[in-house]
Amino acid sequence: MRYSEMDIAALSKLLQNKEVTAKELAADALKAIAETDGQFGAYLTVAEEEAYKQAEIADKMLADGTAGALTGIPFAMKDNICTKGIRTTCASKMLENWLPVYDACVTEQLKKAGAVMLGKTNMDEFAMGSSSENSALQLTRNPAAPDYVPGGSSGGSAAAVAANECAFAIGSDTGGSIRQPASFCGVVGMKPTYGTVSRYGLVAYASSFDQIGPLTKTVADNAKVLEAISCHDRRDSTSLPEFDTNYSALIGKDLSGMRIGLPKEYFGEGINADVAALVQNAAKALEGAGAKIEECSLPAVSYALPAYYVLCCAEASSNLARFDGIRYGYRAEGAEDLDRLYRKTRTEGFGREVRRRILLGNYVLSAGYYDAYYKKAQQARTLLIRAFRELFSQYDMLLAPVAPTPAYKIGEKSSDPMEMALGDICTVPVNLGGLPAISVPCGTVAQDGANLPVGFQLIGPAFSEAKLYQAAAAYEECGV
Amino acid sequence: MQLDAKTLDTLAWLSRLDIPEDETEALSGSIAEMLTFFQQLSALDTEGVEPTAHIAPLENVLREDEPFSPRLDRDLLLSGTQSEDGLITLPKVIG
Repeated sequence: MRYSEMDIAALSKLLQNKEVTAKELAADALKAIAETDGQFGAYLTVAEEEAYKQAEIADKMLADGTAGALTGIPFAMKDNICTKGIRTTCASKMLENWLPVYDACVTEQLKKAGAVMLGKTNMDEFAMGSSSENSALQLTRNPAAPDYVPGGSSGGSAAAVAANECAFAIGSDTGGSIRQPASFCGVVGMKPTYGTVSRYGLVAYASSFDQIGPLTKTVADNAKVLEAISCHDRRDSTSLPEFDTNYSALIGKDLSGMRIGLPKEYFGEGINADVAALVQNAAKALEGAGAKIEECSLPAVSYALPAYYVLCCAEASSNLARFDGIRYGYRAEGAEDLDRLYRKTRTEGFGREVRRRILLGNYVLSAGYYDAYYKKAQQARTLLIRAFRELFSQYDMLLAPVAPTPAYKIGEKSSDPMEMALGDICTVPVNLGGLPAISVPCGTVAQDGANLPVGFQLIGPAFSEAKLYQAAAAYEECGV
Repeated sequence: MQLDAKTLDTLAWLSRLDIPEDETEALSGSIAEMLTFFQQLSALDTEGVEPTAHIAPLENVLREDEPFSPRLDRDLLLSGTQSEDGLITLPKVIG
């Protein structure tokens, strides 16, 4: 097995035993990217020089005994997370050549851990989309089936892990953008509790939902990456002050006494029968591992999707007002006054889906519609949070599909934003509640000669990551 | 259902966007479709329910009012799309 195919745990062992150097791992990973990324298009930027510099630092840490679990491990970063001096495009024409002057908190944390960044990954423009087809810069293909989308918006990150072009990747999840591409590409993706990973340096889309998290080959690896990136950060006003970050603590412990609810609404109309069957099988496997599985009900999910889209468009319209062609990014040519400069820059710089969400956001926030849409959606959010709280008084976690279908063909849904949005039905409730949820691969569905990966998600109350990893690892242990 | 032209114009102005002519029809149709979808919420009884603006269990975040230098001011200024002598350039605003 070549290095690029190994998981973090295996690579870390080799590094600690001095069987390989961080520099050699970086070289191998960069070679893997050069060999296969022409086919998959996961990376927007490969930062070779920077990777070797960080590998050198990692080798020093390994030599002087300060190395940790991620020292020397090659990884990929979603391109909406700031990396000083390395372009951060958000897959938009607006920021195509933008060089951040500072590192995001997550970038700092990973540098501190000695991890080696290989480059920046493709995504839907400003994280708006579910297939990565909204990237203004590049098309990414699903490594499991190249005619299919990798999911989105962190499609490049999921594809890079699945294609063995990095040992792990960082993504962001506003309405499912880590979990859904993880499910489509067959990797593990965690959306952590809101406030546990700093958003400082994450280009904002919908601030009350955005959360950064890891995509990995295994559950144990995922916990290790989350341990490295989560911390309190005073530069993010929503960063939580105190919480336990020992996410690996329960991995390997048996599941007896664990109660897992299966909300029946997630298995109803619109859910592909093969997907539902695979997720039900996963539930059986967890039952075999000692958990108590029970059907339950969460009727509030029926209004999660409209509530989510009202709120995320509203927040996006406000957050993206900063792109005015003046302070950073693209500036349109030939505008005769300030107002024309704003309008021309934004019309030329933003793609169609981004402009559509800004327009929708301004509609629901405008006088006369605010109460009927925006406030109503905020109230729906409260009701959903209450419903989750009620369920978590009976269950340790919930088990559900990540997406109603496996990956679809490139171009199949890209012209119909409404149909694309309906695919987010299983993931957005978690973001409305600020909850942690992990997507775990549970098999494949055969379609037109392709074997399309499918994942299930485990959803827990705030700060239940260690338990989610425990259950996910137990499932992984049983094998599919 | 389509959004009427006047509403689309107002939205475009609020958003500081132009609506390219070849996109008008598709855009107003798709916005109207989403707004219809949003109306599902009207069936929900929310009488007396507090709106949630933010999920973080933080009441307020106060820190000591100590001066610190973000170190970035000048770098940020110079990362503007067009700058001259450390200042950002703009089209003429006052006649």
